[in-house]
Amino acid sequence: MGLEILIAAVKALTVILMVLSLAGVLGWVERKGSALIQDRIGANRASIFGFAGAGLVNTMMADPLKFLTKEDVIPTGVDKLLHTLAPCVNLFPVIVAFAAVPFGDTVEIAGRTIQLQAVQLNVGVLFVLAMASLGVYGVVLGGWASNNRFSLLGGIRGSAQMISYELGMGLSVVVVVMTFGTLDLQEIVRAQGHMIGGILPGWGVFYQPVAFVLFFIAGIAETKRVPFDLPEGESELVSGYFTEYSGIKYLMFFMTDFAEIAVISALVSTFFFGGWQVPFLGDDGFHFGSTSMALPKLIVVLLQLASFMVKVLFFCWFQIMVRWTMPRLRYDQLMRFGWKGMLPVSLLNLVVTAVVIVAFQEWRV
Amino acid sequence: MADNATILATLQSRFTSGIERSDIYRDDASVTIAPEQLLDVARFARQEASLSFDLLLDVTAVDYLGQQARFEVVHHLYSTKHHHRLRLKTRVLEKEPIVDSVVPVWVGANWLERETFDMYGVRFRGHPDLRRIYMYEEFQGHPLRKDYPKERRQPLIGPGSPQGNYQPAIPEIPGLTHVEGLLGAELMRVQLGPSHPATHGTVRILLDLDGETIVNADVQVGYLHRGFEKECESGFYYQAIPYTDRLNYSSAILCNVGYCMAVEKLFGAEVPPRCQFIRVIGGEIARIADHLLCVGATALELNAFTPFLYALQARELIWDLVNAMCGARVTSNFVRIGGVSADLPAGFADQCRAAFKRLLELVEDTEGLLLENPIFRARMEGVGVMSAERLIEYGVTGPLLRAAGVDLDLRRAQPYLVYDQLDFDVPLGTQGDNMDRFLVRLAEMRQSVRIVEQCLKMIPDGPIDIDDPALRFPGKGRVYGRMEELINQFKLVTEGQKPPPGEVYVGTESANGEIGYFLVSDGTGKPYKCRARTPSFSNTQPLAELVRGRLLADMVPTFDMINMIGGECDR
Repeated sequence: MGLEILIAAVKALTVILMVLSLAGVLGWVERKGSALIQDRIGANRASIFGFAGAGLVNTMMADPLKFLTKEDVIPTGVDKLLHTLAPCVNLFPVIVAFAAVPFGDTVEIAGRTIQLQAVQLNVGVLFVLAMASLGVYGVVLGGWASNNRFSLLGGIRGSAQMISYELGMGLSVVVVVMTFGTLDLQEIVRAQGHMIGGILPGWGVFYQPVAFVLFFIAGIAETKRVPFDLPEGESELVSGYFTEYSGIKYLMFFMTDFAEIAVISALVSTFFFGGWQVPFLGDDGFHFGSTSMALPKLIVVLLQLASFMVKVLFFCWFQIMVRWTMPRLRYDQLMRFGWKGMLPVSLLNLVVTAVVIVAFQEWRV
Repeated sequence: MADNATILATLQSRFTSGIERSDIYRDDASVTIAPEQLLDVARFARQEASLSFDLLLDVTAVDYLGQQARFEVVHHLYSTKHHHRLRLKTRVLEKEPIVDSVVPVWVGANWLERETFDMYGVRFRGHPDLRRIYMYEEFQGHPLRKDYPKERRQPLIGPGSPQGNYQPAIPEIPGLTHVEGLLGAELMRVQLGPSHPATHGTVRILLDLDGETIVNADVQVGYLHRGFEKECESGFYYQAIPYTDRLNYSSAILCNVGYCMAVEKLFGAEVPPRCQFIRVIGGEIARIADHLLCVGATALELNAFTPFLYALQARELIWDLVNAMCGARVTSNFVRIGGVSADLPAGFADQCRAAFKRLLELVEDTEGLLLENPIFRARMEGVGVMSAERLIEYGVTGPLLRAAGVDLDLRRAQPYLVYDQLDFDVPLGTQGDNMDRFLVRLAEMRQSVRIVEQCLKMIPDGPIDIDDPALRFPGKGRVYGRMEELINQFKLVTEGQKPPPGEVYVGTESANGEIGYFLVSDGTGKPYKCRARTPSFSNTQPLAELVRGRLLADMVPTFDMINMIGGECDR
């Protein structure tokens, strides 16, 4: 029993550290990536003994240190409890959502089978969606508790936007659930292990390309990033719902932003790109048609872990690329796009998928 | 185009008694009219087909301290149809400085009259909203009056309010009546600025929001007012040039050129051809810098950060060129009365061509990220639309007006310097929305590049300064070694250039529209009146009307496309 708890604790810690360090890495990647796009050098000041080469590590340490040592300003006339609660409420669900995401298959250590997933939930999809919805409370609280009209507007925008885009997100996930016939994220990933016609990996994106596009767009909207960063909208609303935050609380909002990118990337990989699956890689090694290459189990697991990380990092990078090339939508355009564009398309996608599944039972994965 | 004599004759035949004096000085037609006739003359000048002065450029006053009819209210008119100008002057008494407001004729007179009231204390009968515009409500006196000492300081506190706890008075604003929102909800009053990311010229915009919809707006300028006119009037003519730099600091040379041309016009002098070419080159380079900033900042405000940095990278190339011309980058203080500070450096033409090549690449990158982007188009198209007639009524000039399809570019309409020898197009828009304004600016940059390239080919050899010791400082090299020049230099520095008494107005096409200088000389070395008619001031005025009924987010691109330069607007 004690060992079980220990294993669970180690897994939970791994996930938390993974999310947080991923957020830190993304902070650096965003700076360096934007600099690359914009013909700049980017962050080069955080150095130890003049050695700026380890910019990633240095920035990851320097950023939190800077925020930790800054004054934490609480404006007059605000509800202190709610004001403090908001960033926590914002960050918590994102990290928790990661718990259900499988980052590898099972490993066997000393006769014990361990799932490479913090929590094995048979309703993982629902859990992830529920956690994504909880994020809206942080935004609303932050906007409401700040006693600032710009923050309030940002909070209102944020809640309206997140609720609207959850529909499109949910419907596109429903389609995935229908395709794979399970709500368990690990099962969804396992179902993507086969090859279509021996050449194409059986990833969700090849079964549900429309759902992939919808989910990814809705995901960017959920993370409130450009072109959907209206709740922040700094040219109109200064900083939106976190205008009145400073110091470590600001950092928490900041981290949420990056952690959300990581979660969305992980979910996209899980639903549509086979999660930890590596094409042609089975439990015992690579299989290319008739030829095969045997690999030890440990190598296979490591390859799968790497595969998951590469996919997640790719989608993080992709989101950062989008961030630095797109302008921002306007409130009414955003709503129109969500309700009149994404919702009908995802409904249509749902109906078509249902019809196809009923008509051709054997197509079911 | 009617010549000045015809304009005056038309007015005189209509108003036999009201016109007290009419004259033509240095090609400027002006009439002095009785105060009670002002509104009638204004209406006639606007409606009469052969005059059709539809654009009110400027309203200001001249303070003749000591005379019984102390204030002379001056209106500058322009006809976008016939491209001619007229100056209306009205004398009012010191005891009772009241004159009719011309807001019923030109809406754009609103802010201009408020400014005149603020600065001189002249009141306008029938003005809808005669508040101070630059100074704060508690300010005592009128700063541009000749008996207001330049050195007098006033604390920035209201009477009765304890020091350090200044609460600005929020006056009742006629436009901002309290109405109920769509669902009977109370409106939300939001203050954009003076310190807000989108108001990069220090301006305060009071907004009444119903949800996100702007119900009412009041634009309050003046946060960057630093007394341009007062400073100019207290120094010699040549000392005002650096102040003109700081009007539109993103295209300083264009402001220099206009001012120096106005002083030269007071003298009746003309600079040599090489100097004219250099001024055109400098001016067009500055115009590119201004448009780059405007285009880039608009992208930035719509959160397209990357094009902004591309545009600024291109602007850096422009600053390098300005640096090569005069050793300074932003506020360059390049143009001199009767010349320019330095001849073009060796190899400048090649440097220019290399810079332009890279610049055009960067502009293409900027365009590539924006023009085909559906989000950018959706944000810009159909936003901030105003008809050409209404814009003219507001006194708007420059790219804003051309985007609405009005072919008014002073470089073409009233060519000055060597613009009549150059081959360039005047880009026009069709819709008058923000997208058109954006495209017009992009196209104008390319035309400016074309102009500079032509100038570099055509520029003749010769002197860059007027050979007139009364006007132009002798070169430093000669001052150090020769007696005559030393005395000449000494006299000019200590007494200034002394133009003959008279008054002139010179309007030139700056990056944002017509920048005009109205100079009154009393024969001394200091300008009796030095007035800058700046495009940003008139262009910012329609902002409230442009955004009314639109969403809060539409404020941002509209304000950016107006391109209010704080220094220029607030002077």
